[in-house]
Amino acid sequence: MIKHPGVRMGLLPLLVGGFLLLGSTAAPAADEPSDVSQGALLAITCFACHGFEGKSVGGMPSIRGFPADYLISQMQAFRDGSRPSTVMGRHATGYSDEELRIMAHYIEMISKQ
Amino acid sequence: MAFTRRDFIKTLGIGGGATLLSGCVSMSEERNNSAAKVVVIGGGSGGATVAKYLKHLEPALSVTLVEPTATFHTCYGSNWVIGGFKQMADIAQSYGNLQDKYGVRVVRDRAIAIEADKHQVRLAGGTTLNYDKLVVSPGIDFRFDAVAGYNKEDAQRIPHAYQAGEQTVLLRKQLEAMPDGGTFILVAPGNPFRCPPGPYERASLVAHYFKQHKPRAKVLILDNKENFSKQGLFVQGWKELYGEMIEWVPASQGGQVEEIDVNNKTLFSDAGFNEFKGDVINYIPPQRAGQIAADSGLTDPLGWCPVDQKNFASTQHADIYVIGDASMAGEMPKSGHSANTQGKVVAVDIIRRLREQESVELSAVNTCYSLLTPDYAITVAAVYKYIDGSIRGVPGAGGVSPMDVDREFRRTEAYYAQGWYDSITDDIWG
Ligand SMILES: Cc1cc2nc3c(=O)[nH]c(=O)nc-3n(C[C@H](O)[C@H](O)[C@H](O)COP(=O)(O)OP(=O)(O)OC[C@H]3O[C@@H](n4cnc5c(N)ncnc54)[C@H](O)[C@@H]3O)c2cc1C
Ligand code: HEC
Repeated sequence: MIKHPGVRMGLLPLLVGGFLLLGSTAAPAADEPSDVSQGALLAITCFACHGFEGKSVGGMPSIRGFPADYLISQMQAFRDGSRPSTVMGRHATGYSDEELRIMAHYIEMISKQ
Repeated sequence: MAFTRRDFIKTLGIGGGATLLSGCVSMSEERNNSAAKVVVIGGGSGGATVAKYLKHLEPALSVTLVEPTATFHTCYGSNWVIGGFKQMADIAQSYGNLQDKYGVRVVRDRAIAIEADKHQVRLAGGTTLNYDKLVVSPGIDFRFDAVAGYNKEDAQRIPHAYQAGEQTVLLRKQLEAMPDGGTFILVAPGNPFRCPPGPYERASLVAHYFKQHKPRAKVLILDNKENFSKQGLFVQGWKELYGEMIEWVPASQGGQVEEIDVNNKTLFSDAGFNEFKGDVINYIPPQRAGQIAADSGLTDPLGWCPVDQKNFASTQHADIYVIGDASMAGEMPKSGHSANTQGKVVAVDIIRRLREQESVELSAVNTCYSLLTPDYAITVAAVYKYIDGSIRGVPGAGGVSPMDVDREFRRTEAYYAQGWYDSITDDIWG
């Protein structure tokens, strides 16, 4: 069995603290129409790798539960190469700052539901 | 355009407002039968994704998924079975979650006709389904008549293993029965075809199996092309891992197979000038969109479905979308990851249209992981947008894994290849 690559790539320190956004009051009311905005579409494309709603069931890291600011900063770090990666650098370079902002807010929003 | 809750209720055609909306997850079919109806043909990567996301994002919709098989075997991971280190059970998916968790109505049947003018789909079992929007994701069919001497029935002896299931098992059994010192010949199709790196991942994993169990055997790839996906990385990896075991012959060097002698397992190219005899042959025929697309007038003369490059709406018929391998999706490869992300584009688009909102800008991604051994993987990735009239990779993004990195990098990508499988299948069928 292969060890979780996070151990080798020095990712684990970033995960401590866990950022869990449980039980927040900011979740939208149940009778509001669901979010099918540009940010939603950008974010749901990430879930093929990171798992449905960002919650990984296997070896990929989860991205659910992270605050938008953390998601944006990590995507920018992947994009400029300051955070090493196998594949995220090649994805993060596909998005503008504005796109990162709206997708990160969608992920933060659904994490509170 | 501003959108109010009243519009939402109106769009969905639901009377009675708030109570229905707040309790919509458990709303019964009967009470919901005036909601907009979406029918999806095909429960593979594209179809199952769009069905699930439609219900997830808009639970009040009525979504019917038509799929003939109860157990779907993903093509992704099927090369891992052929390589001998995964079982068919590891690549089996089913529809229980779509039905029970998301409220998709799953109909186990085959669509035999789309009547676009009547907005109806007819099923083999005799049922007729009405739709407001139809999504077609039937995958591929083969052009079995592309080479002389071979027809559809011959796939029972010379498998394609390019739709996963019995064909996968058949090829695996033939490889197990092959003597050491034998030759495995893989015939790869020209572009476009399902999963551009698929044949080369397969050649790698057959070599992986041979190296352990039949070290004197050979892998010969006869190609209809002059180059292939992730070629530099594959060739570098093959040399490093398998020495001379894998040989690749491009079309111009005799790789373009024109005739197959099925009984003698012999292949001919260059008008019979070249002859190749194998012990196990895996002929992957050229392809076209699934038959139902052709039968319904959704295809172009080459057999693929032209779609609006902004949202995958068919250019042939109104209120029909085509996604996955069957569609002509600009620069996007025919992959499970592409089909999944296209399903999301269409789910969002359908919901927005029903709410009378403008489409959002297309955003899609693809990554193909290919294993060269169970712990050595390479990838190709891209982010796609609508650029100058078609779907193109965003300049400066994407690309293939770096060349000349250490084995640790390849091992990490192999770890994530399994992670990708677990995530995407959960995203689609979970
Ligand atoms: C060996 C191999 C390896 C691969 N590896 C990868 C990989 O690593 N990563 C990746 O992203 N992709 C991979 N792919 C490609 C991937 O499997 C396909 O691109 C993907 O499945 C396409 O999705 P789809 O929805 O278009 O078609 P499919 O997934 O094939 O689904 C089509 C479905 O439609 C149903 N259907 C057809 N006609 C009808 C009808 N008339 N009525 C009702 N239902 C119908 C079929 O039963 C089927 O279930 C691989 C493919 C192969 C062959
Ligand atoms: C091809 C699969 C794939 C896709 C698509 C993908 N990711 Fe990732 N992601 C990974 C992998 C693998 C890692 C681990 C770093 C690496 O090696 O690339 C990762 C890591 C991350 C991390 C760091 C998590 C942590 O624990 O700090 C974030 C944040 C992230 N991805 C966000 C995203 C977002 C947002 C998207 C959509 C725009 C996305 N990813 C799309 C595979 C993917």
